[in-house]
Amino acid sequence: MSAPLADVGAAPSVGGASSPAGSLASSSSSWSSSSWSTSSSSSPAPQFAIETHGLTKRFGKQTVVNGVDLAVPRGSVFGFLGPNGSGKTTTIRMLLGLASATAGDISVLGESMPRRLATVLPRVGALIEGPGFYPFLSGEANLRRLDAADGFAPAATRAARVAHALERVGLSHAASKKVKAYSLGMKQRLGIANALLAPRDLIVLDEPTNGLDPQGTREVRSLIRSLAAEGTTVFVSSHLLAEIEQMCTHAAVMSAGSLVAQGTLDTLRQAGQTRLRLLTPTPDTDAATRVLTTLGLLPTPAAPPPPAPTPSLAPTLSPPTGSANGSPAPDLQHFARPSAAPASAAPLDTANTSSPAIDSANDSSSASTPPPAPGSANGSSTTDLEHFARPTPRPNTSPPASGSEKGSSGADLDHFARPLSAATGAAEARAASGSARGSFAGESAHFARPGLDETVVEAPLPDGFAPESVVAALVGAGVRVRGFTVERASLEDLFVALTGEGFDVVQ
Amino acid sequence: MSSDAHGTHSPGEPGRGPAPAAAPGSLPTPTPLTTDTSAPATATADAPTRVTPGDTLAAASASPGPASPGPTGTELTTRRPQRAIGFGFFASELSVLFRRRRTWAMLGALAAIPVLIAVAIRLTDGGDGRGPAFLDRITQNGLFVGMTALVVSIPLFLPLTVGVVAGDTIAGEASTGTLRYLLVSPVGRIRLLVVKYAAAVVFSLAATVTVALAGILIGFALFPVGPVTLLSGDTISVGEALLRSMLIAAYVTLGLVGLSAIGLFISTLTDAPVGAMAATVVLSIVSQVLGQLSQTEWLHPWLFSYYWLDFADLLRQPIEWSSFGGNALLQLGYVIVFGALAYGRFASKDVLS
Repeated sequence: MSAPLADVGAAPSVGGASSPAGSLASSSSSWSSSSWSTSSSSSPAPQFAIETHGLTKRFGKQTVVNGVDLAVPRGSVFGFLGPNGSGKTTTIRMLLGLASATAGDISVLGESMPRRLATVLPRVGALIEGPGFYPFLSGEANLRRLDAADGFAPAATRAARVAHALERVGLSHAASKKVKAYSLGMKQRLGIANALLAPRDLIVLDEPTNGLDPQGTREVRSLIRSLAAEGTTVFVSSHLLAEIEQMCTHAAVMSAGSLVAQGTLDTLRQAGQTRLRLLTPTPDTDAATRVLTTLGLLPTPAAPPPPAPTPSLAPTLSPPTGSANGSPAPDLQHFARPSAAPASAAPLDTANTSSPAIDSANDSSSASTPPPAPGSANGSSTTDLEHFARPTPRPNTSPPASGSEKGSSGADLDHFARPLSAATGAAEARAASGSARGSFAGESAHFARPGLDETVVEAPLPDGFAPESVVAALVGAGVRVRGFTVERASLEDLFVALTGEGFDVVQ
Repeated sequence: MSSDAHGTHSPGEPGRGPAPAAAPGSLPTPTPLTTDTSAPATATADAPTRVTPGDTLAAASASPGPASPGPTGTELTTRRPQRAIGFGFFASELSVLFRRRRTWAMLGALAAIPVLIAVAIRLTDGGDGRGPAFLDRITQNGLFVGMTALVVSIPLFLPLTVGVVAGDTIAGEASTGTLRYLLVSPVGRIRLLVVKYAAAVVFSLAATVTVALAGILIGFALFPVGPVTLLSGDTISVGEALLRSMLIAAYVTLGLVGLSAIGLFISTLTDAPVGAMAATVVLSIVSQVLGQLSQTEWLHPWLFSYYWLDFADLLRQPIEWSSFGGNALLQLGYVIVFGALAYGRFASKDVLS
């Protein structure tokens, strides 16, 4: 695990925060301290439904999972996120004893895993890499069969439990239909029903909404919520950020077999900071910096774009995303993936903004020499007027409250539509619609390619700072403001930075 | 899970005492969003501090600590008393096997063999004395149809069908994706192997009995039936002859037990059931070919097909049990060897299908 990122998500932040949770007060803190002390004496630490240390899996010379330290708190809805092929399913297989770990140890529900498999697994429901059923049996017969396989499941209540599970996923009407006549979505539901056959303490769902229509996706989401409300820990893997964002309390991000971030969703969100970007004529840079400093902001002139052949892509590569924060400098080629220029300009910026946010210590590391880019003399000589005339298309010009983001995204919108409604982060707005993206991309490109005499100044914008007042202060000080944006590095930005995947592109 | 302090009481069930039930309720519902922000101040690297404050649910589902040491620790153990031995799963396995159309198609094909033989003989009114054993006797006594059909189907048809079922045992589950679900149920890998193997043996029995029964029935239908003259010259009644027929079916089944074990082992090697089936059938043919070659005479007693056609000893009076015993021993050896191989392979196998 790369150090700085681990800090973001994991240990320190959250542990400390549990005591200030004022209302929890005494009962909570005494609980945590006592359980902690006992847990250190007895072997497992049962406050984690899943805990792994240095979990590694190699197939031959290929390391598929590399030193993963998962910590899934009990009762959480834990999102396990990563691009396809990042080792999610292999990790899940190891957690469930289907595959053996090359190295590292696993504890599930407080018990060491391949060893106590027979006592652990009856309390775990799972959907692993899509549903698997006998096509020649009915849905109901399939569930009976799998329930009979569990030697611990009481046969007397089997019929009732099967019926209940089918009802819960809305398949009662198709119970006696042969599975080969099921649609993919119905099979997926049946797979989830199988995970619900018995009361479970942990439910592992690998890509649960694959193949489901929006309605089905909503149902799965609300099912997961109701499971969580019952106190079941739900471990959901997905390659869709939107899905995780709407369901989960916690998340972990896998990239190329390694865990690159982990923590509560809110912690992860805070890793991405709000930043303002200011486009100003180079002579005014000092004045702008002074004004911003006076306001208590910490401006840094943005890195100049190198003279690259594809100007819109170039800045993506320049910020030290990977190298600076020690994340596994993933796939630059992802960014360079051939796609429409505007589209790829989106993730580009993300990297720009979120990387310093992730590792706030490395402000200085972004080689910050302001002057005009040597090679990019492409006539971006847009007039000042133009800049001012164009209203910022982003709805986020006021810094979003971190809580509201969750609230709005929690609305049961199909995840395709979600970015539109959430509309809190720059990236989300960006991904929203073609037109929005287009206009943004244009502007973003402009920010990325300032004119010969222009400089971009960036500064983190703490919550509560009205961007308008900043602009007013700048203008009042005689700084020519040719462009001004506020960008909030959203979760998406973070994940893009961590995994090198454009999630919107994936969708 | 010895510590009561945080025994995991399963949330789906009613609390057993007032303590665990009350505890989660007593927790207020704090808003985790606010608590997170104050984070990085107290940074201790210990794992347990990673419990996030966002975790109100975690707090609620875990039992609340020393205040109520109560019953939570034992709840775990009482919830699932012990694993059933597995007859339920065995029954389920059989029902899956016999609900497949493929199974019935194979049994139907096997039943067609004696019917074809009987009809052909009936139409041609006997033969010229050539052909498989007992063929010439059919016209005199319909009870020989079943035996003739067994002789005909032993070299190919029975190994073929048994190979299909045995080769499908594990690989078939892997290819439908049900293997992983069975294993996380959890079925227990050894239990799964044993049940799968037992089901394959049951199918072998069903297959031979099908051939024998179909033969007897068609024999009754098309030919005169009467007391049977044995190889030893003695004559037995029709009832006794039917019993002997079933005994022969049992003998043939026994001969297929080793092949089933081989199929089971091969099935653990691959996720492609067709490959495992084909390999099993090919092996049975190779074994018979080797059994025909005089150059490999030293090997013959070790081939699993060695006793396959030796059921004539059961048609003597008194019954000559030596080949039956030899067959049983040989097949037992195969079961042990290939059962161990299958276990060794499957117990540690990464199920990635």
